[in-house]
Amino acid sequence: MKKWLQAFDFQRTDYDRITQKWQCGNQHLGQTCVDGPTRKGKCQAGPMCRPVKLPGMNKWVCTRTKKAGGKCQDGPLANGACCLVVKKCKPQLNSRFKKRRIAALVCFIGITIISVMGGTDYYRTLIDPGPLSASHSHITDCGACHHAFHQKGLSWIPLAFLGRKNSDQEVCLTCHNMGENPLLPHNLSSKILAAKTQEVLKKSIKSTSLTINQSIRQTFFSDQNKMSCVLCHKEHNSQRELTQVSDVACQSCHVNQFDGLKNGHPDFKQFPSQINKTRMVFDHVKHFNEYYSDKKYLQYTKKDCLDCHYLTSSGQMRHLSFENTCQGCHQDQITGKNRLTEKGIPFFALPQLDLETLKAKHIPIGEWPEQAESELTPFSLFILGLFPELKDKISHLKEMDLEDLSEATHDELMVVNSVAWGLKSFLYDFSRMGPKFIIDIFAKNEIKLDDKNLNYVELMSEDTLVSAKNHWFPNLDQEMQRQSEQGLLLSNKINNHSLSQALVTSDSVTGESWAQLGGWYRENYILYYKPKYHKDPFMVSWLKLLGQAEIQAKFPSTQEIFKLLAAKQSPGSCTKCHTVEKKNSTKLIWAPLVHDRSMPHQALFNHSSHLNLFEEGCKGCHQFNDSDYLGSFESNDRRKFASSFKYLEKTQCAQCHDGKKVFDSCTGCHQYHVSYNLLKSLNSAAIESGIE
Amino acid sequence: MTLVKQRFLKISVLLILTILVSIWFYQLKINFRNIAFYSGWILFLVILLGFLFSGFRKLPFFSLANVRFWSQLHIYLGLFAIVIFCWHIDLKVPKGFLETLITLLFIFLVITGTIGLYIYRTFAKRLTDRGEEVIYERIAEYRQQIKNQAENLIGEAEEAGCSHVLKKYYQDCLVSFLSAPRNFFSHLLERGHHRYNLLIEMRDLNRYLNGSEREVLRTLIRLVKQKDDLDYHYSLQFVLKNWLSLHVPLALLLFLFSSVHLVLVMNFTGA
Repeated sequence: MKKWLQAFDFQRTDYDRITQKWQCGNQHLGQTCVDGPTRKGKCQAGPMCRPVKLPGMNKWVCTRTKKAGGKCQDGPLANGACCLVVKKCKPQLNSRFKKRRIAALVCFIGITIISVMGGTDYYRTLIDPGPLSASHSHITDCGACHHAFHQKGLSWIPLAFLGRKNSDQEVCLTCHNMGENPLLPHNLSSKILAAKTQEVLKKSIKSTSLTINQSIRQTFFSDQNKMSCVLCHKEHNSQRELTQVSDVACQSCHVNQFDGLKNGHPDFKQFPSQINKTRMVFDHVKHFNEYYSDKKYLQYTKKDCLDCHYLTSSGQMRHLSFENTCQGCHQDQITGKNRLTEKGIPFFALPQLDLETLKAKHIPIGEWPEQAESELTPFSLFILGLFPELKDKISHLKEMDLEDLSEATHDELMVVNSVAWGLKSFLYDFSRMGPKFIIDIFAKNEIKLDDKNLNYVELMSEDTLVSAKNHWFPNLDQEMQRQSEQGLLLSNKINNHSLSQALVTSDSVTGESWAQLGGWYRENYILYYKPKYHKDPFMVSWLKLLGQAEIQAKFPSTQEIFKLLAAKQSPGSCTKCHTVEKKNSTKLIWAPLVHDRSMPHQALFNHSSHLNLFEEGCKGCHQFNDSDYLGSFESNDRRKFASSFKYLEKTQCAQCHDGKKVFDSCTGCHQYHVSYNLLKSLNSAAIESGIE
Repeated sequence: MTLVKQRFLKISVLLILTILVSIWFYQLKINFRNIAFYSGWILFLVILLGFLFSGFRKLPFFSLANVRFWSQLHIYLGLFAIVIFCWHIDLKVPKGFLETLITLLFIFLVITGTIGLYIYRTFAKRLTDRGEEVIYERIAEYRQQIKNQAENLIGEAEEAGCSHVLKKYYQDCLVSFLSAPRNFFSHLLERGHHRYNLLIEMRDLNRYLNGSEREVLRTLIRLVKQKDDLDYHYSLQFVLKNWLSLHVPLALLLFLFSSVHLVLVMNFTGA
């Protein structure tokens, strides 16, 4: 029969007192006393039993429990006290209360840790959520970004819940200048965003997920769709996590949603060429298929794309300079070496005048060469227009036939007279004062000049001008002297002495033949300028000046000069390669487009990682297209353009960018901040202030 | 409703809630909202509720539900908290001192809680299956009793003229076995190899004993079995009674540091 260890009757078991704080220390021996420890843990060990006197008996009876041994042999004393005493013990704390003490101790340790760390310099260790990314590692003052930091200690508790405005959201803008709409999506204005969204909405089919996303966004986006920087850029993480944005986040706003480049991404439209035409005119197809095969230019032939293009360290393609690429073949065109027509640009010309009528009507224009046959050049009209007294008269001149003034009125004849004297004065003053005269005239008319390019009368030699003056008006000096003495235009006879052909240097080439290397020369009664080389300062200076909207608005006549210089057949052939843009003003585009991050709507493409993918090199993606490339430049409308290259198909990129072989995330190719270059936007002074 | 059906219902509710919360958090994430803010507050409230459980169940008044209800709520809140916590940290290793500490505390809390759930479900049955169920506080007394009985037995055997084999064996092997709790982890893991080995060892002594000595040996074997059963009870009940000494302090620390974390986050988070 099994012997049970424990019994449950009161005779054979002790009172365990498990709910009380203290327990008897002899419990493990089974020798607990009747009373047990006090509430404060003091042993109350005393008599082993409490003797009782049964009714009707005179004798005290021992009441020791059976567990303790039952009635003792000696029995109670005569006074009723027990004869045996329980051995004193050391009371033990009940296990429940032990656990409470452990819990209290742990709390105390925790509070101590917080207090010690919070109250000493180690508080930064306590509150630091992790190291900053490399870009911000120079910031050592937490308060530079977190305004609450400088108010330490217990003041953080009320600050956390009361009167807290999310000012930390915009602290990034202290250093990063993101333009006028820093907190709006893509930093674009609400109008542009709304317009683009409407545009896309018309084309796309609304999906259920879009509706759900939009409704949630409307629920939670209450402050006019503002998006703070920290929504995407989480600091106190790695550099990668600072700039990484999940594709799903992009999808939440964009109307067109899809899974990746292969699945659902819109097909490419006219990629990689920009929608507008190229800034430089260069027919790749013709050059490679025709010109480079021409034996004449064999030594300048390019065989590979990288003969003209180079890769930057950031993987972007750039163009080599004119000198390294085009000069070999095109330099002669600039200088007009084989040009059959005039090689120079007519700068200043004496118009043909009806001298007979002027003489008959006693108009005192003084000396005037009879052989002068040309018209006033646009340059002449412009410069004369800079003189206030001639400005209005120039406009009248356009309506007159200078070669036949027989029916001109007296006033009109006086206008001719004024203009003629104006031309003479110009020659006279120019020859005396030199190119500074032109600069002064510009300055007086508040024309802002580019200090680096004051080549409006590029290298005009004194001799050219003086000899022109002397040749055309041998007595100009005396005439101007008389004019200044009398102060009035004289109505005496015009001195029509024939002009000699003096000042022609015999036995030497003259005129155009003389200016083989470019520069100024005189031929007939015209001063010409011949472009010397690519980036000719004269051409560049004038074209830049005339391309300014202010100049075009203030001096409409300058359009004629622009047309003269920018004509396809014009000496210098600038517009053979440089396109003309009509936006706010009509101007020449000097350089090809440089793709950088400040241009909106740019897809980022790193050439360096793609160059060796195809055996055929660049032509693996950039394939020639048989189109009327040059024909598209007949019009100045940049939207009318036929690219020399076939547009890339999405499938070409998706072959590798499928999310498995290579990434196909949104931000891998597209940039969120479309309007501003992040690096250029940095405010260095603000950055300095964040460094202790 | 059977226990299985009840459990199925509760797990279903938990799953549905988890899915709904996950969908909500996902939508928040793709809408550029700070999930950590919302999940943090939910987590804090869940921890607070779980904390108050121990208070609610002790209230003799204002009884909203019975102890079983609060226990179940505590368990399922704990499971729910795991999901919320995963969303809160975005399954990334935290880098700050405080954040790392809180994460570790939470993980250990989950571990101790899971262990506690397991031992509550299994230990009681195991204790019942083992045999006589003794009150934990009396185990020491009964251990002493068994030891005294064994000692008396050996003493009587010696006085009766038995050989020294039993006495020697008792002194060499059984004294240490009977003096204190033994094989704590073996009993927890339900391994009986120590008992088997000891009994085999004792039975092997039979060849050296005569008839009366074998009787003594049989009694000793009974006492050894009783002691082993007592050790089993001691091991399991010790864990049952004391695992909360880990769980509760961890919860206290977690609550404390979470409060500090809450204040810091409310002050320093930009969005």
